[in-house]
Amino acid sequence: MFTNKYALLILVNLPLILIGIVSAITSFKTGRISKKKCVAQVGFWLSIGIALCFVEPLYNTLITHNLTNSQPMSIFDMVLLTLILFSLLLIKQTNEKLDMLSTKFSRMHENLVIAEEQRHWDKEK
Amino acid sequence: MKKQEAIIVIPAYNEAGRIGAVISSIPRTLKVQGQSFSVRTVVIDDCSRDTTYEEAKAAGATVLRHVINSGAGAATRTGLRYCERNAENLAYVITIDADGQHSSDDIERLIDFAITHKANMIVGNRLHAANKKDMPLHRTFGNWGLSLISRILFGIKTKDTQSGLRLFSASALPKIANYTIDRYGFCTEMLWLAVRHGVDIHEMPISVKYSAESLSKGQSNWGVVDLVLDLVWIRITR
Repeated sequence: MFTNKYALLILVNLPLILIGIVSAITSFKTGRISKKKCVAQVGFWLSIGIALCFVEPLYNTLITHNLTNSQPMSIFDMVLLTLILFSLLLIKQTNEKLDMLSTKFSRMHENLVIAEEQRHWDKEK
Repeated sequence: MKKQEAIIVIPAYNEAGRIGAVISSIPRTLKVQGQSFSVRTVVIDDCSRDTTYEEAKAAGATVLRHVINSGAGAATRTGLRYCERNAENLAYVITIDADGQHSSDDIERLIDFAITHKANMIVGNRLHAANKKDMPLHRTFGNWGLSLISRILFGIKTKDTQSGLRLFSASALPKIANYTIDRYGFCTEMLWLAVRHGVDIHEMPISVKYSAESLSKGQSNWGVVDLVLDLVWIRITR
């Protein structure tokens, strides 16, 4: 069915890259990340996309010059690469959520402590 | 006219036996260059396991108590936010360490310097010749190294970036209180925020007095690694 495994690799990974880019832009628009961070993330995903486009010549060069002992890319390699990319996406999303939760938690803690002190102050009055 | 207010913010963790003396040494009113200030002390007890809270209360301070131990940066931020919300006629906020290493005389000197130079932020500099005999060599090198890292990463030219004795004007407070590091790296992040918001940073030599307890409390080697990692992280991500 899919004779060109490189095209398949790009096809399978494209949605992940697009999710990465869209989520970076959404995070920026909703004020969760700074512009600088958004640019860095979009750049990161774009560079992965570009790198994937050059996987075929890279693999061919490596094999031609006998720089690897591996066989030409298999379906397993493709799944592995996709999983690595998916893990990166998960790490990025988790890190962002953790960051946001940590900030929310800190603010909540601060507000709680200040409110508690004010309650004591009002009682003493 | 209502008296201007100066609030002393003291983040504290397990400082029983020292915090009372630090609070008592702070004057309740100050007259500097003809201006009168009422001085209020706000202690943020970072979930201490000893009697820091009770001692600070008994010494007459307003005490905020963290429910969870959150770090020196988080405790200081709670104090600064409290000042933003509760002060009437606030002129200055001054942060000092709870271990007694700072002299309360320097508070008056900081305010005097702020009035003279119309300064919005002053950092007390411990790294000068007069403190040589009072500051252990490893502390001097540690602070010097961290200041160097801050200079390389953020372009901060302040000589003592980790100093806990600082003064902020009321107008500078909202600009610098939004830092994100909960641990010791907050000192540098605060300076970076000041630079980014165009707050003028001044330095003034201060005295320092280390006791056996304050020396034993300081930063562990891993604490320093964490601090540097925090700084690198915010430099990359913000």
